[in-house]
Amino acid sequence: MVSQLERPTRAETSAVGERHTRADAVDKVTGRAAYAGDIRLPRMLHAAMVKSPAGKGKIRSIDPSAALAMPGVRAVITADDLRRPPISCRDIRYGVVVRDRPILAEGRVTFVGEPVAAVVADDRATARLAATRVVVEIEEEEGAFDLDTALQPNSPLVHPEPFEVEDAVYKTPIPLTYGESNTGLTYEYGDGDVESALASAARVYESTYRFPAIYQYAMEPYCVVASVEANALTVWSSAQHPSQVARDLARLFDLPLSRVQVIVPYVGGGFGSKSFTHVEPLTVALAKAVGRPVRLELDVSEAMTISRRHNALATVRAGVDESGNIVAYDMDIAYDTGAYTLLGPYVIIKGAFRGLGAYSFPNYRVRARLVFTNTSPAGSMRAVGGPQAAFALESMLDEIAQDLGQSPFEFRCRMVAERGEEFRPGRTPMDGDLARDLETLETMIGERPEPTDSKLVGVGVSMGITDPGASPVSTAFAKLAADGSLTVTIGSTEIGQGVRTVISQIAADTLGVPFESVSVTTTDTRYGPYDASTGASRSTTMSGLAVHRACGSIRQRLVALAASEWGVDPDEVAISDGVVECARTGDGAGVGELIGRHFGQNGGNFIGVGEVTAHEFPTTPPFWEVAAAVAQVSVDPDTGQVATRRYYSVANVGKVVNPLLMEGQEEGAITQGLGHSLFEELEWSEGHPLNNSMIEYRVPRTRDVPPEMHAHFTEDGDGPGPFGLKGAGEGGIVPVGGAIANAVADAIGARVRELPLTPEKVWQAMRAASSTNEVSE
Amino acid sequence: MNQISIEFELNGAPVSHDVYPNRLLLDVIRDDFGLTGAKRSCDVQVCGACTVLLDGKPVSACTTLAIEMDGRSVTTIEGVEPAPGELHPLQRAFAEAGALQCGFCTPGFILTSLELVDDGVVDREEIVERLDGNICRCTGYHKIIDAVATASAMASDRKEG
Repeated sequence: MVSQLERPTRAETSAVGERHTRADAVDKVTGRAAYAGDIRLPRMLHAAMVKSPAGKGKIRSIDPSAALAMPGVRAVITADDLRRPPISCRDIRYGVVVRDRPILAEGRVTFVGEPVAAVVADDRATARLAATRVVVEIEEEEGAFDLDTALQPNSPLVHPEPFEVEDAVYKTPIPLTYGESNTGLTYEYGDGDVESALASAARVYESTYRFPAIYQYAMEPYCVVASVEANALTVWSSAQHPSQVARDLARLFDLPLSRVQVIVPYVGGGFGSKSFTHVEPLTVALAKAVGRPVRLELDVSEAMTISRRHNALATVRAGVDESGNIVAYDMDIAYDTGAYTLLGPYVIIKGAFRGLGAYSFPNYRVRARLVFTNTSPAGSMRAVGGPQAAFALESMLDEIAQDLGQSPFEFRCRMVAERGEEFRPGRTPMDGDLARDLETLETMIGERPEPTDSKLVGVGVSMGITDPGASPVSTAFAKLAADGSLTVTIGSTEIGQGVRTVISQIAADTLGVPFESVSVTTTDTRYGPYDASTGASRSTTMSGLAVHRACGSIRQRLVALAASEWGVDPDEVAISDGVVECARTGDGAGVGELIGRHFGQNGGNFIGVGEVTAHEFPTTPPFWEVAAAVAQVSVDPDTGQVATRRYYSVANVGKVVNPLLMEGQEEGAITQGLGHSLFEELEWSEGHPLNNSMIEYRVPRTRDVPPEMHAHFTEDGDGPGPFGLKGAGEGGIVPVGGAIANAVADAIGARVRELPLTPEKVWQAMRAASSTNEVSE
Repeated sequence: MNQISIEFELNGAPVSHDVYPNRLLLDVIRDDFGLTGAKRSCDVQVCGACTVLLDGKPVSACTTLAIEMDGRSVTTIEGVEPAPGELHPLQRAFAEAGALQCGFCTPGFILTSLELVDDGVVDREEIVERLDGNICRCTGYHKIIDAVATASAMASDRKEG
């Protein structure tokens, strides 16, 4: 599969595997780290969006006169201004898979909060106040405001007309359909004959599960600063994927990529919310309109409307034979993508895969549907499509195991794919030992705990698998200076995951220089290299591999130089700790010294370039990201309140580059998962958001995380990245919903099939179960 | 609307400044003084990212008027380092424990935790309780709690020693 990949040349590592303090730690604990929102330019003005007050309808009129009359207001623009000078857009729509999202709504609106106009003023407060004074008249229409309505055969259509397909990183594998129903795409994946197997099964189970719409809540709301020069753009953005933003801006504003500079300083969290292009085109349009730099900083209620996780509705049927083995597995899952497509087609394709888990069912089928509604668009969030489908799958497995009187651990152990098994035809064989992971978890959780107070106690196990490493295209530059210091430039952004630290560790060990001598620069599309994205657990593996190759080429040059100077064989030359040496002859020189000698003066540098191409991965995914987890909860029988007491997880990561960062990624993923399992849900009524502030939208706080939380990593050195590493960071969130739901079901003896498990739902389930028991008794 | 003159101490230095009475403390320290370590996130006093100390007590700068600084002392994250290039033990503990990822919540957590370190709080439950007003979306909190406990223990040792 990846045999042609260059393997690490050095067996020993000194930086890789160490708990190095983050390279950005000092900047971040002192408040010096600059984020997009901290950028200030001379003559900079501030923008605010005028947002649709209706979920669906025709725009009758937009009257900016009251706003324009306010002191300090410089301009108000609408969609009509976009194609005209001075903005002169070549196109006004963009999107990662389908170009459906307009820079400003044109003619009609499709969700509450959609930008219909924008204001530029001297300061942000004035701009935001002026935005509320732009009068927007909408002729409201009946909308498809929720998934159930949108799925009805006679539902109003969100999009009656088709859109252009984007021809970039994510190409839609199947064209979306418009005008017939709100289902834009149906993706079926499977093997075997599910219907026959279900028909001949000894017992068939069927249940329906719901997963909520989730706001990623990156704590830094999206912010963009745009500056327009003659035939060039400079944009500072919180974007996760700057190379994709640059591409969209170049197309929309008719500029060559070489003249579009997207700079991404530190990013205040992403989790997928900052994937793809959001308000960059609008900010650039405003900067062109006023001829001055413009800053657009969203607030939380606005950030909620640019991206969210798809809510989902899944129906699972499973057929079991006489011996209690699952012989047929069938899932129908609808994902609500809101008003625009964003990454939707990939979310459902990933979801279909992820909804099968790591299990070898003899016959299986998933039908995943992408459904438009008149709500804010759903994009990507940590392990797209996975938590929704895995919650349904893992709940169903426990329902069956419980009915058959089997241990949920053993039930799963019997079904998981074995290492080397091609458990999905044509895809990468299983690259982990999952039964071993489950046994590890069973040992960690120990005996079923007895209740210690008046609470009910339950334990739940769950698994998750993702096919990560999307778009395996990365390039990297490495520059070794004459003082022996190394600068690495990558296109992947520092969103908190620690990519600059991990990349420094990989670079240090590849070249043979100390960790402290490596620095990784700010992401910049004009001066830096291309990277497809920062997501899908790919940076350490894909950017890491490109960096490994860039540093490897510098290493080769140094070795060749030294070998020829000392008259020795290159195989006899080693580099470590910044020193090039030949042990046999005793020759030695610092890496920087060799550069000086090569150039003939004490200056110059060696530049290495590394690439990773999609051709190298004909079989996908590049690796499987598998996580297994066990949770112990307590439930208050009087209120239905759930508290997570213990949570243990196991992840197959190949090799841990930095345990401190790896634990942080995993603990963070688990905590976000606890959010969607217990508290979080974006809600609307007739298209109007009900909880679009952090007062009403509750995310986990210190007291919500389990007092005992431990992430265990198995390191088998079996990944495609340098040093045998695999990506990580997303897998941990996938099993959480199943683990918590199964633990709660274990505690209360009843099942809730809808996340989040609010006290109300849990209490009602307990109440229903006790009344059923009373009747049967 | 007329501007009002206020005088206060900002990170140990006396300052006089004219502000409109409707301006927020967060906007004034970020935009007028360039102290961008305090971050804007929730705008409604629930996340703690904009935390500053007003007379030594943590407040949310996003919901405090700038005029409330008048006659008081304000400490931002930029004023926590004891000397240029020297980290406060709590800052060092955050860095070493891996108590930060994206870093957006970090200044707020550190400013809120300073009081806990001064009080020598090492009990995890008390730390959990007193950090309940700060949100971190990246770490899962455990490493933050570890960092505060470590810095508190060190501070107590120093006092006793």
